[in-house]
Amino acid sequence: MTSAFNDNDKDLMRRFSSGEEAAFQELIDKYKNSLYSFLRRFLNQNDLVEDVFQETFIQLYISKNSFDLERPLRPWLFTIAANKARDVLRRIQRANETNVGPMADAGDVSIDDVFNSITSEKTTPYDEIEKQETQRLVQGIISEMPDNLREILIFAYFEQFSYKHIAEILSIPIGTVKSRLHTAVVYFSKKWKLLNQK
Amino acid sequence: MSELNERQKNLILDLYFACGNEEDLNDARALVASNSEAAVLYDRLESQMDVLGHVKESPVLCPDHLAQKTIEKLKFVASQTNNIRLTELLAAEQKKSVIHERGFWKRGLDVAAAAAAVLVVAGLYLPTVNNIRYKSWLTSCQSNMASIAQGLTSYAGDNQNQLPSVENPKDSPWWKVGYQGEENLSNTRPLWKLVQGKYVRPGVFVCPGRSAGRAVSLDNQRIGHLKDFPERKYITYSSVLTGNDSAPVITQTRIIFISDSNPIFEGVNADTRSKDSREFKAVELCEKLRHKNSLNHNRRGQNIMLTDGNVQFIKTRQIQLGDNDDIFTVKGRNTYSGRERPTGDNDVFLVP
Repeated sequence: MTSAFNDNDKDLMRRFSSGEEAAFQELIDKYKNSLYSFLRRFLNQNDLVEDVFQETFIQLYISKNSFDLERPLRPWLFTIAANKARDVLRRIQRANETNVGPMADAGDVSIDDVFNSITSEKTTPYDEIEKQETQRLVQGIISEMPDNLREILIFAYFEQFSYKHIAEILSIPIGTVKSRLHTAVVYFSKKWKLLNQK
Repeated sequence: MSELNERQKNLILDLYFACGNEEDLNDARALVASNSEAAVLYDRLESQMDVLGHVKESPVLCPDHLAQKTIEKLKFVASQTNNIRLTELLAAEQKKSVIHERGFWKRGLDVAAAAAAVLVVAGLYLPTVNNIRYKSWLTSCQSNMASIAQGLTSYAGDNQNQLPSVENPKDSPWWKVGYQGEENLSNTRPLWKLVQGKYVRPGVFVCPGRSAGRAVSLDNQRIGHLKDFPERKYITYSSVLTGNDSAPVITQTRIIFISDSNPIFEGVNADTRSKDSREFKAVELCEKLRHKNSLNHNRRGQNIMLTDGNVQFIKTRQIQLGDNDDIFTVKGRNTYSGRERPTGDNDVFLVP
């Protein structure tokens, strides 16, 4: 990003940290939609989303002293949100004692597997109704993905973070980010193909 | 047998997700622009994964009440000067179980009040937001067409008053957008000349109403290697199909040059790999197809751009040209095989 962008965030975070109320509003206005849409796609339950959304900003304030103003704010904010979201999912998993959102093994998928999984069929919806149906089906596949694949796909495709930032947010090496993304693409392609064969 | 090595295939994936570093992305762009196998793999990946775009383009907006509640909580936390108290609050907040939180909402009165409030707010807010978005995309689309009009004028100025055209024999198809072979098999190739000649930016050929405001871009290196728009999603407008091989010229007579996409042939896609790999499914006009407006603006009508640069929104497909002419059909024709031509000067036919 441009330095002007970073300077703007730096100043905003400085004011936020000093407890300036206008900065609370500005910072939330700036990031609320992208953070909220990430949480909606990742958690998929509205009541959980609202809790984690609020906790993320409160945690940002509480841990303001550990934030390095020279680093970009957005990945930091999403690091907090991702950690909190995963904590919530783990808590639910423990409470229900069921296997909610299993983790997928990302080790076995090669780049050739990725391209082999891709169909050459193109499915452009014909009209608005078909478009909505496609949207529903795609959303269904995403929400059923294992947690670690879903989050990588959301960060890479929907939030458009770089590999470097995704690695920082999830505290994993860049190589793991890439192999998980490969697995996510293969997972999505296979499920999509299956749906289209029905 | 693939000629691409593992690193090159990784680069293609990096380019699609745009997650790699700048150096890798530049290498990837150069690879896709120079290597046909890489270009095909990239297109296949794009075609497959673009269904995700349908989820991406439906905006998920944070509700106002949540933003407001968060601000209030932050103010409260900030007002606490005692650090110990703060730590206790945070610990309590984090220990709160999800089920406990839900219990609060389960109280009947609270639920009823909240539901009523949500219904009222949603009822007021959603139509307004949709309407604002609709109008904004309609205006942006008109501004796109005005940019194309400007580009056309500049092109005509540089080319003896002629508008862009390509040699297009009488029986050749006009619907194979994206075909990159030598033959001219699509009606978008004349407009591609505007992009290649840098008269118009490629992004303006996408109606924001169709892409949900999502910008579409093409890098210059790729543009230089293409003979047509890469695929249909890069051009969601239809343009006039001329009745013969001669290039249309700017005259005193105003003719419609471009409109929002023709609703009759929306299901038609071009395959970018070969000229014969996809067939045009014959279209038979039914009552519905005769009256349907373009998908670009929720079927409420379509923007049209005339050769004098005038852009206007029309709610029906008929225009006064001698008699009433439907701009999306050929006069007197009910079935289409993708090769039709208009019957004469008073018959406007905007395709694909």
